[in-house]
Amino acid sequence: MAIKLTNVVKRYDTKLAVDNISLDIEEGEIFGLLGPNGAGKSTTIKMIMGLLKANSGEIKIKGLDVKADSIAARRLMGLVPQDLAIYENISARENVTFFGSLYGLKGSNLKKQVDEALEFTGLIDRQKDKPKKYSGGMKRRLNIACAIVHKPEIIIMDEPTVGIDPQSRNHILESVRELNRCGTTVIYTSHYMEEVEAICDRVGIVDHGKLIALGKKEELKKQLNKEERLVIEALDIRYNTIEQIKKLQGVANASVNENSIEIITKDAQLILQDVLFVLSKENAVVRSISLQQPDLESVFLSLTGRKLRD
Amino acid sequence: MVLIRLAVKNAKAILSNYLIIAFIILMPIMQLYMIKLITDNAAAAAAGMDAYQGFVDIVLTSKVNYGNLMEVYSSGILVQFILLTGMIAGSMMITEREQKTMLRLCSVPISKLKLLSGMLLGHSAVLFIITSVIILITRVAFDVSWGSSWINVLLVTVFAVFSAAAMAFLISGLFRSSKVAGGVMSMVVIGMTFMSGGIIQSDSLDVVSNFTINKWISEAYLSLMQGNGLESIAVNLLVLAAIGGTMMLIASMIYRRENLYE
Repeated sequence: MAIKLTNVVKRYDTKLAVDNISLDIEEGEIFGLLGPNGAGKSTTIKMIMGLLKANSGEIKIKGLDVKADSIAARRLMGLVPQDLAIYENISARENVTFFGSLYGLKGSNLKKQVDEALEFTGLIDRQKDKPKKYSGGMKRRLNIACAIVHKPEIIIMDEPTVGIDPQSRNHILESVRELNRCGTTVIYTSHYMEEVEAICDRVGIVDHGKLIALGKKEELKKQLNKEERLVIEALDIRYNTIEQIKKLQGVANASVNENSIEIITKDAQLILQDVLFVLSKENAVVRSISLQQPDLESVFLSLTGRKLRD
Repeated sequence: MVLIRLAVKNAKAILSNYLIIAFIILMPIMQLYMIKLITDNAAAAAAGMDAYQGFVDIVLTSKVNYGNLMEVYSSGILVQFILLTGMIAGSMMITEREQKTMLRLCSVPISKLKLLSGMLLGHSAVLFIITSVIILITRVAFDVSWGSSWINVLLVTVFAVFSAAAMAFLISGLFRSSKVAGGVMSMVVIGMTFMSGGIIQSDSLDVVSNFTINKWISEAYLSLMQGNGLESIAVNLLVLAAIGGTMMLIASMIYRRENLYE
């Protein structure tokens, strides 16, 4: 077992940020922690890293208690923080070297591993440049290089692709797969469902500090097997329209994203007429109607009644 | 080793601000140069040299406790810049938090004590280097006598650096924004310089000056300049150690909070 959380609770004053989460993460898997902003993902990550203390419960990293063996546990892990955590005024190489040295690497070993980390993240050609000359994607990759230079057994990536272009995002996702192929356990948090869907073996869905679903992607989607996902593209959708659709008999849940309405239902044919009636009454202009396979977004919508990026 | 790496990295980070470092070194030198120019002109005028007559009037409104005016100002200005450099180092700690690098530093396998000690060591090293440079330049350029024992000067500098670093450490722990902390730090430095008599010397500041770091450092340097030995500055060193130690203790309690990186 790479990581084991048992009944972990974290409170900030009166706010319950993490509510009794229990979770096992196996060695060598890519585990996705999915949830909207403020769901408790980053707090959970910080507790795993020993950066925050849980109010109650237990966290073990390869058998080491995070509270009692904090330093030994941290030695096994590498953190890619959500925000860029790099020094802008020193070169990329100096950044990676500095953080590598803090993990006890030195001499030729340090140089070799710095080379490998820079090579792996595709920054070797620009290693002498200061990050202020880098694009957003390159800075993100340097953020990763600093976390993997000591070759950790577990890498925790907290929303590593926020605010970058699709090319850099693909590069990062491919890097995650490559790290995993080399045997590294990866915990990947995101509120981009498609990223988690693309790279993760198992997924935990967090909302309001609670772990509301846990399992393999397919298992989670199977929970929705008896439900259908009706997607209607339309113009002039009002908030009131969605509220009316939600109240229709047979509609499990509904949400809107710009010009698209997503409806979870047990029988799309049964509700379609009623839905179109509501849309027509509210003067929405329907452009297309499709019946789609459930994805993790549908799972989240079904469980919480909200979309991940609401 | 990790401690040294942290110290070196932090020292380099501060020293890489070339403009600020140049300002910190050149500013006191320029101030002293102006003072030297004024006092030389006044002396020349008093001696009746036509070329300088009317150039400047010196009005004695200040109480000068110790001999040479250049020595008085050298020690006073030096102390002000020791504190200022300390404040810049302190604001670097807040910048680490703002730039989120503190979060990464807290995630590496080293204790919080080692992490903060390494940073403080780096800051203190910079303070020590800059103080030494200013002292050497005043000695060479303005012939300011810092006393007969360089070891004693070194000792005062070490205690001065310790207390200044402790104050910066404390203030950087209290504030989360480097801008707010920078403003507070500047006010503290200016306020203490004034209260210590570094701007205007007056009997009315005698009592209040005892509560400033400036007074104890400046007085120690001046005592050495007068040719006195270690015994004359023992109380000053003890007071500086006590002030620095107390501030360091309070700061370390503040930095014990779990979200040190925020």
